[in-house]
Amino acid sequence: MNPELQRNVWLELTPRRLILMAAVLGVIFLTAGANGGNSAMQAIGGAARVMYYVIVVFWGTRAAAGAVIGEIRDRTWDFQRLSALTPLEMLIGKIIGATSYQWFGGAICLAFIFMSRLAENGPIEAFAEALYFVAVGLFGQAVSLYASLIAVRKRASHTRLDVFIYQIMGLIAAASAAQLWNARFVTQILKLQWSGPGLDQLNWHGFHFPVQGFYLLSLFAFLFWALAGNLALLSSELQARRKSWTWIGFLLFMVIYVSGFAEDWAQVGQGLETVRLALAVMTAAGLTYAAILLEPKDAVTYRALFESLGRFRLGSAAGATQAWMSAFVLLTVLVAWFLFTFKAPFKEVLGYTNQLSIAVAAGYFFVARDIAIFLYFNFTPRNARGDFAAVVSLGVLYVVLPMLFGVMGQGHIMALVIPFPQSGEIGAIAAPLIEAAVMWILALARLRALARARAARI
Amino acid sequence: MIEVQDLVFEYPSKRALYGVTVRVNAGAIAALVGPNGAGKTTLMRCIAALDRPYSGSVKIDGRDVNAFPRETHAKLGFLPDFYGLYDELTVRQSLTFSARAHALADGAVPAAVEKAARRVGLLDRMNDRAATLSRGLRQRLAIGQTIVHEPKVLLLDEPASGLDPDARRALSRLLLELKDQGMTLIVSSHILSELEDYSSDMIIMDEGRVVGGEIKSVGTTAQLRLVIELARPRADLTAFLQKQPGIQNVDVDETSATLSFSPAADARHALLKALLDAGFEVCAFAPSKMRLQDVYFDEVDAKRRPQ
Repeated sequence: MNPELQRNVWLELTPRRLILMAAVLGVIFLTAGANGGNSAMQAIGGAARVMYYVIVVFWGTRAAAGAVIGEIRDRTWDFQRLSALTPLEMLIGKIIGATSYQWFGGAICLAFIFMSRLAENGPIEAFAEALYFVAVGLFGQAVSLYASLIAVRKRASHTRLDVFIYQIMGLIAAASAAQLWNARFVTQILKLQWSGPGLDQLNWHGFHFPVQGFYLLSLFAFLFWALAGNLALLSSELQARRKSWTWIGFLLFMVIYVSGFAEDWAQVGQGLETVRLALAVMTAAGLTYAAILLEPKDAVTYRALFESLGRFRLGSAAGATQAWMSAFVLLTVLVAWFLFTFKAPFKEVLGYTNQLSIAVAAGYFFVARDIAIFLYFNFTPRNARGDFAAVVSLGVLYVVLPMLFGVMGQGHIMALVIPFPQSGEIGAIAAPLIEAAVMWILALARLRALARARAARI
Repeated sequence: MIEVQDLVFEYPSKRALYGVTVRVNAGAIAALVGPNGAGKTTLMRCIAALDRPYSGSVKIDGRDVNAFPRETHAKLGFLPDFYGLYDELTVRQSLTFSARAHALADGAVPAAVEKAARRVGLLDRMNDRAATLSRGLRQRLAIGQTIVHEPKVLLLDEPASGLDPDARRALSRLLLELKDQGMTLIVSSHILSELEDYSSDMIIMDEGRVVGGEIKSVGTTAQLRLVIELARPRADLTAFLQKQPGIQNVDVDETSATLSFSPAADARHALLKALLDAGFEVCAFAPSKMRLQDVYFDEVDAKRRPQ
């Protein structure tokens, strides 16, 4: 057995705890069955579903969030980092081992869920539901573990409150997955219809899929990426030499996945190609923001990167690149593709598509500006609260100022703070372009100032 | 065995290592000493490939630890200053996990566990939970976990802190035993007397640099430590010694002096003759082994002396 898994099994699955879990669940299911009258199996199935969410999702995300953080808090993480455990062994040890007690309880619940669905709807639905429950539990736990590993990379504090926050991340992921299991909700998103029956089929890149089947495949795809993300972060923690392509793969997957829903949204107003590219651009932009927010961005890392580039040490420069850079490169390609396809805003094309092109071009420069804002606030001697300051600044720029301009009736200067095609091509694009240039100059000047101060101390 | 070349390490808030260059030969026990914040722990973490330096290189057995961190971990054991144990595991489970986590073949694990437990004196506590062990026994268990895979290089950060005298003596014996079996050790500590018993070399660090620019051999130095004692006190002993050539770092009062001097027999004879000719009633004139503490303070004093 994988040593890390075995260690967790030693700690988690003691006979006393196993008996306790089985006894508690037995009492709950007996009570539910006794109160269920003629539909005792249905009542037990309902109780098992609730208990599964409580044990595997709620409690399991807590265990997963604390799997690595607990090691750091108990000062055993360096020992693990120095071991010969492979990233995959570590991942299995953490995601299955640290939650093995919850999975023991979950397995009992799952058996009753399966039996109740089998009795009601037959084997296919019972099997599909079991798959859903396993995936949703693993997905929530994987996201919690991922959030905690991000915090480890950022050398964040590791209090119980922090673990709770990482748990919340997993709970949000699992809750989103559970909500999407409801086909009506999928209809609401894709068709922008807030009432009426749910969809039976959905259209993805021109292919028609049964909603529940597509949903299960999607859930497993996202579960795969969550596990792959964890594997990449653990590889980095364990100093595995192999360069991880997980992020690039995830970027491409997300762009292709999200743009696949253009068919349904295209019916709402836009042409198919426009919507597909717009969705791809928005996805790449969103992932750029996610990457810049989640990565550590200290001045030392960037100085090392620029030095490597300056000396043409491309291997070490590639190792020092950050995830937001590849996301931004992808965004640049997609924006260029979008603008080239519609030949706007460089050609006089009237109409809504041109407006969209202006918005896309302006939005691109706003993203460039916002990256520089994040870097500017993180390039400080202590590298503390930089992300918080950047997020607050963006809140002011994207929420407070537009509201203020709106109240003041100053719509024409809205282009300073949000993509605003109504200001015309020049105004809407020039404003964020200049802001981006200024912010990049400020961020790089701060990086240079830090380097000079460091050199003076040496 | 361990070659550190121009190692620079930067935290976002400060530079911790300023181009550290040092070489530790195979089979040595190098004491890593210096004040708090000198960069000792950072240097150890870089050697252990736990933290990536800004620039420079560390090689163990000729292999760059940053290029091959996982391979480095296989031949290295590192016990940090603040280590943790899995409190709910027994001693046997802890050592078994450690052996298996270091990729020992399953068949070799029981023997390795027994050997490590015997080395650290925990054979009779194999079924005790780590949480029930005293501080000294916990320290032994931590060392046992660190050596269970028989690493070639062992890095110990403050291994004796909190140990009672018996446990410290046992630790000294263990480290010498490991050295005799071919391990190369770097041991960091604030307590110089503790390192005295087993160190063959010393790396003095201060403000992220190696003081004196190189590792010091504790046993054989270019300077000899001489102890001079007089039968009757003489107030002019200090003035006399200060006039003699080749004498350094004199610690003197009216009846005795301890000083650094050339180990050459002719030079020592000349000094003794000068003392006797000047009427000093010398009753002791003997070399003493250059103590770790002496080497440390000689170097640190020399660094702090105004240029």
